[in-house]
Amino acid sequence: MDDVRDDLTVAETLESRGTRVDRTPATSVSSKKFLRVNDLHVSFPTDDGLVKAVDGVSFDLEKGQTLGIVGESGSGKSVTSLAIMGLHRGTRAHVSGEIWLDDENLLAVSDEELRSLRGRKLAMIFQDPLSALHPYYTIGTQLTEAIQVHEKVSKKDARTRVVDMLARVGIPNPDKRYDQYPHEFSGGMRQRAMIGMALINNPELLIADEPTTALDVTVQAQILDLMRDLQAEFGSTIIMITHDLGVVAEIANDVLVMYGGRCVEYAEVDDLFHQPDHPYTWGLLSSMPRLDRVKLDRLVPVAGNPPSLINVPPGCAFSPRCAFTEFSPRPCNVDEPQLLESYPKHDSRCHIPVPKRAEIFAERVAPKL
Amino acid sequence: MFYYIVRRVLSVVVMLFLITGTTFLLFFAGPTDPARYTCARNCTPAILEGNRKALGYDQPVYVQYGKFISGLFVGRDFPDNAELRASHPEQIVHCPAPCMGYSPTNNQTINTMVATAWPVSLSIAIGAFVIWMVVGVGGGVLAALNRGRWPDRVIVGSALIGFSVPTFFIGLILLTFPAIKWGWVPIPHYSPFTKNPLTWAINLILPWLTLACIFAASYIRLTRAYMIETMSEDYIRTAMAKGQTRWRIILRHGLRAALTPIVTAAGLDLGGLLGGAIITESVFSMQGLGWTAVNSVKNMDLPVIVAMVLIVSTFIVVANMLVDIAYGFIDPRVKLVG
Amino acid sequence: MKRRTFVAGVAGTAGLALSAAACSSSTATSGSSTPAAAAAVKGGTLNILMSTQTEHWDPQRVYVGVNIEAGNRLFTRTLTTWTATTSDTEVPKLVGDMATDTGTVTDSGKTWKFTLKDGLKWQDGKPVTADDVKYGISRTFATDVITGGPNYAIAFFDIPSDADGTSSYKGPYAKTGQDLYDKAVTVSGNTITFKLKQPVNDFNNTVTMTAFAAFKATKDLGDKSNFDIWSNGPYQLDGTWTAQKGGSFVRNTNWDQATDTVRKAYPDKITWDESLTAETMYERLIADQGDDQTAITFDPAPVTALPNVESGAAGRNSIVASPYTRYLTPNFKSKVMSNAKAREAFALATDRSAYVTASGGPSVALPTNSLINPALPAFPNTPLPAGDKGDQAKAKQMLQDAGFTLPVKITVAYRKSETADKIFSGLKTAWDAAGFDTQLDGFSAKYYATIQSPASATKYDAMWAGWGADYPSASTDIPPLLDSRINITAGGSGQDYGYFDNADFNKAIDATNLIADQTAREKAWGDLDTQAVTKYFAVIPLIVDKFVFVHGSKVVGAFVNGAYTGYYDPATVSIKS
Repeated sequence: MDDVRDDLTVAETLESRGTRVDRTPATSVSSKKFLRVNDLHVSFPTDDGLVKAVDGVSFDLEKGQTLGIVGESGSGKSVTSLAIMGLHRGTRAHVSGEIWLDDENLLAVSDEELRSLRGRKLAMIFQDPLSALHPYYTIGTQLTEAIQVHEKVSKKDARTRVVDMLARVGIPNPDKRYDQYPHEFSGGMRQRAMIGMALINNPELLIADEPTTALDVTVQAQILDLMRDLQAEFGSTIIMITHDLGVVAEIANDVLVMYGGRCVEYAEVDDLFHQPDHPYTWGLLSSMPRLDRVKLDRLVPVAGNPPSLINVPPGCAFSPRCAFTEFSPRPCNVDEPQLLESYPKHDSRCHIPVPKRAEIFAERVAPKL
Repeated sequence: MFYYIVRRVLSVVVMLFLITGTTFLLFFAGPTDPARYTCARNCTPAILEGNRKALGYDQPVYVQYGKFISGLFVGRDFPDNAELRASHPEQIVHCPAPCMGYSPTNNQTINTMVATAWPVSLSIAIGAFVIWMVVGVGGGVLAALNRGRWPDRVIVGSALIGFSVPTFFIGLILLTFPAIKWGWVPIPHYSPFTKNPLTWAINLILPWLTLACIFAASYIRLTRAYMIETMSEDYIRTAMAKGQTRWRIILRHGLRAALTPIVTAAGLDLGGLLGGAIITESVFSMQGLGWTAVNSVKNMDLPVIVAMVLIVSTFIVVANMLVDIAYGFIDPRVKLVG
Repeated sequence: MKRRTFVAGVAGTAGLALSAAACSSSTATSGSSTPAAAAAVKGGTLNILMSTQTEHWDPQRVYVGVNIEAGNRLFTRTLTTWTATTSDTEVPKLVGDMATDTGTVTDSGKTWKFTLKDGLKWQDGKPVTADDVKYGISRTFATDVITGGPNYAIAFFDIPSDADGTSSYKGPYAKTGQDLYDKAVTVSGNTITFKLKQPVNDFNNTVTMTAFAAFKATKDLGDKSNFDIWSNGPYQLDGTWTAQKGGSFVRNTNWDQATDTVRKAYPDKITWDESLTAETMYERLIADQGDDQTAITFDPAPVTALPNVESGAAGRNSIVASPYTRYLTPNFKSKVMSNAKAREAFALATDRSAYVTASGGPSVALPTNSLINPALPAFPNTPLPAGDKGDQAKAKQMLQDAGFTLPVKITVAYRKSETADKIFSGLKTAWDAAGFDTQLDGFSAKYYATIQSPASATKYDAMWAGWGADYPSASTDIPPLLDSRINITAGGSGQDYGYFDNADFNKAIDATNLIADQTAREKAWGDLDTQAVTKYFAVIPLIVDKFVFVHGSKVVGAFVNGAYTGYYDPATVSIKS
């Protein structure tokens, strides 16, 4: 590949070599970063080739904040969260980079240490609570297990704590429900139970992988409310993975938009919605059904399909689907854009000059939202 | 659940009637004349006729079947001859309920024959069952956990060999070498458990291994397949996310779920075996129900054949029913509707 | 013949005839020939292993050679019996067993008298009386209850028959015709007298069958008595007998050695296990481990074990001629075989060597040209017309000379099995080479019943059959198979499968029956055998089966009593300590 970086600035040159300067949209330097993910790569060897599911993702999170990770299926968002939980260990995945939780690099700790952290310091809830809960054990047993893995507690005490938690997550009749099986719960109740199971040991980090995707819209709202309340009560730090910008708007402080295994935009939530800085994000916003949209225009989907993660096309991963490549001074399908700060605490990855993007957004995209 | 059980029991009874009725029809209304085998070389038609009458084969099939069924409930006398009962009562054999019939070849009521044969089959079945479950499930779990690596290949390869080798071949090899030629174990004779448990066990080792071989092979494959499936379920990932330890996840979460179909298959296999392991019993000359059944066919001893059919079908049909009922207890998602 | 029976012999030159006719690897070489008495010690346990199951121990119901001999040697004494032998080839003598001698015959063979010895006791100490003998024999007449045994008593005794052919005496349970029986069999003190319908000059041979043994009336439970052994011999049943499994025997302390010249009763205990398969059993015998060293069997070795016998069981095996002769009967009712020349050609073309090869070789089968078994004194040793292979060319010439258009189509029936298929394919090759066009029809279901039926008379030109004498007189060979008067009826051929019906031959049978002298009579049977084979071509004898037996290394004095039954004789067996 030709080197066409003659006219780059120094900063850009550094970035083109693939080292990302430790940047974060966080405000004060003195705030301790609770979670720092540094240049995370996750790839899976398959018969067809090496799948680069996550190709250099970095982000930070302060205690008590919520990060929303947004993207399509195959963008790498779930893989990222599993990497943080260390659930790729023992599989054929190659994981590299650093994941700092407090002062421990989760990718470097021993298996046993990581196991003891899981469910205690960091916890995860999954998309489909029916398949994620064991059908043969009662809800109560499963929640009790979450406690007893980490603490020596008598059965009686454990039961009390579990019943309390079930009540806390809004399940009526918790004492009776303790002895029921997952298939006897409704979808929303199951998800509440799962949330309760994740939070029962008061973890500092909670990763929620599309927790509302499988639920009705009304139930979805209840779950999100619950999570917000619990976060306020427990002080947990949350990573919310979703493909739904609406959820992000509800609950996130910061947003990371992923595409093709990479971060394409990273900003505080308000900034993202008011000044989205990447054509993909524009597409996401345009394709969102919104109640406050008066016009009866048709939704504008993002044309095309997600990219193959095996044979990654050269240049910008999004370029095949981008409607605005004409505005780029560099060949989008040849040169790979770097993640650069467009605005304070607002990064994005695009060749189109920032002012131009603002103009495009204001003129072409915003009116249709 | 209660009504379900009631209905199943009733259907079991109906099925047993059908099975025994069909067997009766096939044998007694078939072309073989059962009385022929009671008569030696200087048989005359008159003697044949007399024997036929004495054994009750001259009566229509449904009458014979009716007597068989009533015998199950109230018992029977053999020969069922009122004059003989009056003149020579000591010549009458009384067979108490449930009377499964009388074998002229053995001069015994079938009840007596079954009473001595059944413990043998039970002993063989139970020991083999324990061995094959331990080896089969254990091997399957290890293979599943090491999927693709050499332990998996070795275990599955051995299972394939064990599965392909016929039972009688294994039995004969074990009998010929460890027992007869090398003398590692005494030549197997059945010795009752009540007499001496150790002797009982030593004599049964070879039959156990013979019978367990083929079942272990199939349970290895079965367990491996179910384990691989369960270990890829979402709830395994949840358990890991909770921080549960590796072996607890494998056993309490993985194997527990995989065991359900395995246990039901095991229940059916065991039920079938209780009716006798024909090949194993013949190879080791252990006189269980299977051996009795084979001999009854060799000797064309029709009452015994019918009784064996009844016994074996009962075990299988009842095992089926129990396994279905058990499923309702094992898997909380299953609702047994009456 | 479907069942195995025994063969017996009387003193004579039969033994030498046997070795002369046999192939090199037969009888004389194997089996120890040291006299039993020298090495014999009292004591030890003899283990009898069997793979065929005992159907009856009831003396009146036993019709299988093994059980007749074993029963007789262990617990069922008979009026007369055969002495034990000290080698595989020795021919036994007929002696009195319960009777003081071999009986007195009067009325030109129609009346027989036997006197019982003193001191004969049952296992409970009660004496064995002539009435017990009379009662025992009467049970044969209760044909609906006492099934399975030989019917000689019914055939021979002077008791009238009913219209349907059954005897007018219905047995001791029904009591109908009891007076008729009481007339035919009379008891006076220790003496029992039999009145026969016809002269039977070898009746003292007939009574060696246990059907003529004593039975205690008070112990008679009819069918239930089948396995209830009540002994007057050296051993009694210990506990109960389990059908298809076996039992064990201990000494009968009430048996008095002084009354018994035949049985030595050396072992203290005898176990009988009949639950085994033949292959496993012979593997164990050859391996000779543990308890198997004191084991013996009455079952011949299966073909699979034969290669290992010489190497693995040297010095403790016996290869003897079995009681069975296999033969062909040309069907006199068929168009082709009604022609004597055709029959002769057929006989000449028969290739016995093919039969032997296909059966498994000379250790399994022995070519013969007599219906009578080589072990019998009556054995005439009729020479083969053209050696083992026959002469197909000459036979072809014979057919042409007789005016037949070749090839001559014939259909031959045989009892189907894998081995039989091979045998008959070999035989067919030879017959076809002699100008026949042989159609083979092999079937196994109800073989004998089928070839006996009238339908087969129009279907087959020749049939295969097998036969073994009931007791060592050829009177149990020739008349049962070749006397048309007792065989051929509207319902079929009886045992005269070829419908051989010759008045001169039948007259000669009658004449032979009247010969009082044993030796002369047996010789006369032999002559009739030769006539049937070489003059009338009524039968074409093929081979005699051979039996191979193995016993454990600690068993002493086990010899095959070829003339009595063809199996090891337990009378003189002892255990080496």
